Amino acid sequence: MKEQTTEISGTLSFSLRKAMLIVLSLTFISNVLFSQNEVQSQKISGIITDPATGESLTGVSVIIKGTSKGTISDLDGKFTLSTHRPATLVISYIGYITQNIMVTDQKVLNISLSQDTKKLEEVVVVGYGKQKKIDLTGSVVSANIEDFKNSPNTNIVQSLQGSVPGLNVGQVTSAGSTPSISIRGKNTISGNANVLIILDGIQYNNSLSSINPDDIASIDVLKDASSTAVYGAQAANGVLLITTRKGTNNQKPKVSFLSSYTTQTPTVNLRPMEMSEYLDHVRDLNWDKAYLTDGTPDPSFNVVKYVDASMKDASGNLLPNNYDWWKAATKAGHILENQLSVTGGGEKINYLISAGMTDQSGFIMNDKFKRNSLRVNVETQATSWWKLGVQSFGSFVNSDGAEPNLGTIMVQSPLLTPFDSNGDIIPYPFNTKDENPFMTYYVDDYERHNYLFANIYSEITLPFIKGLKYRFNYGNNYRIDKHYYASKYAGGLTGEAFKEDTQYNDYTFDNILSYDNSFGKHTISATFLYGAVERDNSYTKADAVGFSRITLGYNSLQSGASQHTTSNAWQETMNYQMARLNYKFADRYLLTTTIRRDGYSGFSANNKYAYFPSVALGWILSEESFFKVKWIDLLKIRSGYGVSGNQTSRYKSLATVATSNAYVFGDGGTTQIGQELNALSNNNLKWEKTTGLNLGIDFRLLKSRLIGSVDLYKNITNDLLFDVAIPNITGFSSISSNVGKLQNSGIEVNLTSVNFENKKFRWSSTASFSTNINKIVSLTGSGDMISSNLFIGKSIGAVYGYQTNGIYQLGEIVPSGYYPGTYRVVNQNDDNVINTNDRIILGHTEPAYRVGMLNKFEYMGFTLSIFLNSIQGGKNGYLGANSPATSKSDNTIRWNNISGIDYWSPANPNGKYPRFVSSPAIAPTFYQDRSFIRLQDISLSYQFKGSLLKTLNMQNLTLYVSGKNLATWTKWGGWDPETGQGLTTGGRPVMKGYSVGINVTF
Amino acid sequence: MKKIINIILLIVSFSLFSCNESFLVEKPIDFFSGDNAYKTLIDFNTSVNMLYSRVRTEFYTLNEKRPFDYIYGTDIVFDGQPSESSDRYSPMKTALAPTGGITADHWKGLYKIVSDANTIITRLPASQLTATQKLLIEAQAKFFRAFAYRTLCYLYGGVPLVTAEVTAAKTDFIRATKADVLALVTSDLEFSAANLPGIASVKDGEISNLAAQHLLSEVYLAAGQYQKAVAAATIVIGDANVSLMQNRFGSESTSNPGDVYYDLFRPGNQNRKSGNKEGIWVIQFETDVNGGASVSTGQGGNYLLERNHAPMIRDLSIGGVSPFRWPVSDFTGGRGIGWAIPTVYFSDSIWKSDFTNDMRNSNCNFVRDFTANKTGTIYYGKIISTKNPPAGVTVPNRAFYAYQSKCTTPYHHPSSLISNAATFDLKSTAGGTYTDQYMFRLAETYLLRAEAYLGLGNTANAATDINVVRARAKASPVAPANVTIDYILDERMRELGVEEKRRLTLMRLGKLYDRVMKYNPYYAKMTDGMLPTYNLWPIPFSVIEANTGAVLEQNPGYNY
Repeated sequence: MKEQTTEISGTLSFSLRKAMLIVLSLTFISNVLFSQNEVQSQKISGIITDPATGESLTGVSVIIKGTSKGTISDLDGKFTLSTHRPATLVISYIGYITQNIMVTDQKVLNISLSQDTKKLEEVVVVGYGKQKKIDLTGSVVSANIEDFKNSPNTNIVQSLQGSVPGLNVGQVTSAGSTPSISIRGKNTISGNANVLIILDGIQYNNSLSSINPDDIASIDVLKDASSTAVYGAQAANGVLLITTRKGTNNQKPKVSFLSSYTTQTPTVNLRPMEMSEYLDHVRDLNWDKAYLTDGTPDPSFNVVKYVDASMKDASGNLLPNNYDWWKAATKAGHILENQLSVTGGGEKINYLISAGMTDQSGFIMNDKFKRNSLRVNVETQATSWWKLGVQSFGSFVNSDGAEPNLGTIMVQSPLLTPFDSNGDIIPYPFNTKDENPFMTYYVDDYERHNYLFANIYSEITLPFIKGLKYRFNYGNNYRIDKHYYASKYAGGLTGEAFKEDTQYNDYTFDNILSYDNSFGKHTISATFLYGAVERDNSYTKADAVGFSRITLGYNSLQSGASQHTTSNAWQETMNYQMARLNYKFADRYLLTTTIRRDGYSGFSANNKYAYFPSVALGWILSEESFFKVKWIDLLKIRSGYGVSGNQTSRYKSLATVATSNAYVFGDGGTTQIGQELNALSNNNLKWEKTTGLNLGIDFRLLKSRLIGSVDLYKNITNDLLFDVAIPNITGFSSISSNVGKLQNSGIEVNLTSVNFENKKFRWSSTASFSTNINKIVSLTGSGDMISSNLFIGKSIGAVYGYQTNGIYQLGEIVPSGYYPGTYRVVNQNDDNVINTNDRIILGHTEPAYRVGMLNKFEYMGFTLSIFLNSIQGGKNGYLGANSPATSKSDNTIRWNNISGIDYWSPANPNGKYPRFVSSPAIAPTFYQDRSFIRLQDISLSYQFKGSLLKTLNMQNLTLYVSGKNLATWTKWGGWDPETGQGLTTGGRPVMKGYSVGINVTF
Repeated sequence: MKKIINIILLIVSFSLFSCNESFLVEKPIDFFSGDNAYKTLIDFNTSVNMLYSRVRTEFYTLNEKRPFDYIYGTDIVFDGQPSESSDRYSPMKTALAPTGGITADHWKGLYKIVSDANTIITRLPASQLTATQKLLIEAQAKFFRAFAYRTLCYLYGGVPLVTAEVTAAKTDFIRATKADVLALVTSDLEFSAANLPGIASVKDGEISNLAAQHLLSEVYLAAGQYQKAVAAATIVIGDANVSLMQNRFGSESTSNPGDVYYDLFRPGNQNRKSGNKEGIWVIQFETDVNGGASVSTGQGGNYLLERNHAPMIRDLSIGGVSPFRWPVSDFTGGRGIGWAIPTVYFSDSIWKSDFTNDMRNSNCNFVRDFTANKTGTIYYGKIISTKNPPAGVTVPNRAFYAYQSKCTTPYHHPSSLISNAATFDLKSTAGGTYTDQYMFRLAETYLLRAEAYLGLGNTANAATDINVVRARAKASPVAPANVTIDYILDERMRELGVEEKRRLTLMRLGKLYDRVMKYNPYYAKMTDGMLPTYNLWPIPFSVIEANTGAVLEQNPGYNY
């Protein structure tokens, strides 16, 4: 936040409301001039208001400069303070421009505190340091998490979905889970595609579901290679920098309490067929018998004869049930959130203490997620040259309880029931080996994930050289996963129990030397880093099968007849150095250059270290004297070039030998261990290198009514890591290799505009748009690698397969190997056979563009925000496999299916999906467009003002209602376009929810 | 000043802290790497163990379907459940499509045996083993390599020959001729036969010189070297340590009904420890022991011959009444689901001459009379027979047909699979065949030598060998004039039945198409059923496609 001293010059060009300030200021200054010799303590009081809204501001800090004395404004915006004269009062409030006001002898001081609309003055986290946003040369975006605070997002990443151009966040379908995250296009084929997550400066490899969203102050996204290069070999997929909240110095304790309740119901209502639909389905599976050759129903066909024996009584009649298994396995879910935090600070110390409780219960029974988290962030200025602090949290996730087997719940027949007349579970309802899906539900399941994190940092201001500082971060992550399980049904009804324990810990030790100084028009900032990381993982599982009594469950594994143990472990290490130089000249010419050297244990023996350089330039055009466009407040051009890498995963270059319990010789013999090579070694395996060029423009127009940025980029990844398919004649089906070159290019646009604003009403919009084109530039060797689905000039998501043209009908002359009810495969080369030569590129899985739009309406304390998110495929893009097909077999006759799938039958010749009696020689996969528009978030909140707050002695009271995923417009059939789950019986629905919440600050 | 010095020291020490070069050396901590796992005798024995495991997986336990590709689509059984997916042989065009899973999975499984054996053979010279130890390991590895190549060669014809460990990506394989493959197989086996120990000095389940000679005799037949085939088989037959079992023995020697042929297939009766002298190479199963494959707690891991071959007796309904409980550990076939139904040729035609006297056709061995076991029905305790089925029941149908009892273990399923000890009711997870399995059995060696004599035109000696097998079964002898290759194939059907990898025998002889058209009307009459093309399987398309550096020629007739 920029400090702005109110003085005569520099205020003349401001708006009317600022003019008032000027008058005030002039008054103060004249007072200063006339009474500067008087030094005595006198009372001063006043009201602090926001000139934009005219409302008084509560909780504004008023401090006497150079002392720790001060006060804060009350509920009516009033303050009273005794001070010596003359004195400078520092008036500060989050989100507002801090003012320094000189007081001499005035007794009343009414202050207009302006909102800080100069967002570009914000400071952003850039990796091993911070930078003013105006000084950025790379593509770095601060996510808008504030406007999504009221959405029921139990995982912090969910609130980033769709709102940051170039940051692609997926959809989740189970409680508490972390969505997929990617930045810009896919830079790798089979290498690690994960975004690098940095939490308070420390690489965070644990689940993001461990993090309490309320603890997060900001999330900054490093997108282009010139920004990510400081993280070197792990940064090719972009970097997410998460910063947690901290206390403010000189602030009295502020207690915040948030509570919300959210409903959880599915966005789609797929359900299994009920009895009559099911019987029609059995009839249609037997269409070769149920219909006459002209396609009309055969009146003599009796479907009961074809229904599986398990669904008939002893006399051969159908059982009298119409049971809804899906309903029995699901229920309306909820999310309950409670957050409490206390922040504050004295002169030398500031602190945050927070506790969070999340209790989420999904739509599927036992899809549960409970998280209790605690955080303490403390920072102290121990001496004038030494600052130290700690950021620490413990997060305790409870996922006890197992779901009914979702993959099979949909296929249970409505003629069967899960329980017998005694209420006991029927283990095999079909009287086959298919288990009752509730067998996995009635178990003793204990699943806990405990996360502990502490980062201790220390900053020392070094003497003699001005601006030289040394800082270290020593961050530790510790995770304990416990999964204990006992089921009397498992192990073929003999009972099975196990205990599974995983321990993970890592440390990061970074030493950062920084130098910041200005010489006239030159500003220099340099950073040197030396660091090391070690990660260790250890896993043990003990399992027993065959219990005569399973009462003691997993706590008495020795009671099981047959016992097995498994353990494994891994370890990896890294060390690295980095140097960065930021140089600014005349406040308008910017240069950033970095170099990083990375060593990693998982690199092959011949390639242990890698170097990653970058350089970026920026030019703030609007600061130039010749720049005289009135309606442009700011115009900045920046360009960056850099290299970042994608590590090979650990042990990837080694030839690995798998051992197993192989054989037993003789009756009563003992276990013989076997071993075989299961991966070929590659001593030359290298990390992938992504070089990226980024061009960006930042602008602020029409007195900050329109703020935005446009980024163009082109990334080229060399030495693509890929498990290349090789003929399994070798004994292996693939080898890890560096195979070629991949290009991603795209455009990102981010716009924020204030569409309408007066004292009572404000309408603002934020839009984000991104598009990315992915293309394989070259592949090692001769050309396309068809067996690996890699085609030069196409994207890595190219869909290569058979084109279909409807379904073969009865009476049609059908080629050999195909039958009525199977897909009519298009013969692309017009020869007389359908074979693998008839495959073509059908399209690609990548979308054409993504767009998100947030509209916010504020009126008298009410805020309505509406966020729409959309991913569009364009022509043949964003394809997903969605090819339900059914053929006659024992199981398909037994099994139920999703209601309403448009299968072909003689009576439904225009049916979309195949239903056949004989399997075709080639059964193509059917791809469909996943494009959608989603009303992702909508929220209405009201912030109480005035006397009520005073009565309740509160600083803030906000109530809200919000909705998540309330509507989705798509042509995709099935569970959800974004998850890509089509009409499959094992699919999971995306949840929609309505929330009510309260936010109180004392 | 002291403060500053301290700070500088601090920074320097931090830097030193992670400067150590060894910090980045990668040390696997829970697995062996290729560099350190092939040094000692234990290493190599461990590698050989894996070969046994691989063979068992490929031929017996991969899943509920693949191991039975060796009998489906031949002249011995047909599909009880047609056209479920491309995993089944109805239609055969779909099952054997070059893009299909059947032929690709077997190719992969067999070449994995080749590559595991090649790794052993390649790394042996540089190991710490003594010359004698090396010889023994090499003999074992070569046996398995030969076994895999012989199977590949029968199934696919001439296949690419790899004889050393592949250490880098290789994508330019070409097919060798069938003769070249057989030449490698015979030379490997000759080496193994010369260096493997005798059958009396190996552990139960281990390969011996006799296993090598038995296989060698079969491969000589495939190569048309009949005299050598006779010689190899003669070494096996002449070995004093082996003989056909003539009298009842083993775990159920007093059971009634029962006979010596029945005893050969009872739990625990296959290894030499039980007194069995007939087994040449017995594939080992040990229930609920790690590495023993069989488990009583589920179907996965088991050899699911019972599941495939026994009828789905549950679904038999006579006038709306079901006379059978299911699954039950008795002669109704355990937890069969009636997938592999014997052809009428297998269940009836081949037995005609000796229907009542041939022990192998006795009701305990080829079950035709089923005793109804559901109380409370009018049929309880009565015999329902496939020979004169009740009105309204056609035979064979999936619920009711004659089957070979060697696929199951009546009254002797593992106790934890039995849900009611008094009634022998089984759990739903039954379906496995809970006993060791013969890969090679002496009776087959006789029939191999008979085939070799027939090839040499010596029908008299051929008849003599066949009659040794028939005599044990109390069947009438065959006259030399009646010995033809089809007769021998029929005799193999009688003696070996579902125990045999029937597909390999018929494809070795190029007689798959012939025999299916003659004796298996199910496939012969099916749309997209049998074609001469199917005497060889297609090279999997995925392999052709990945072999970018050279062309792997497809077998004729597979241009789809």
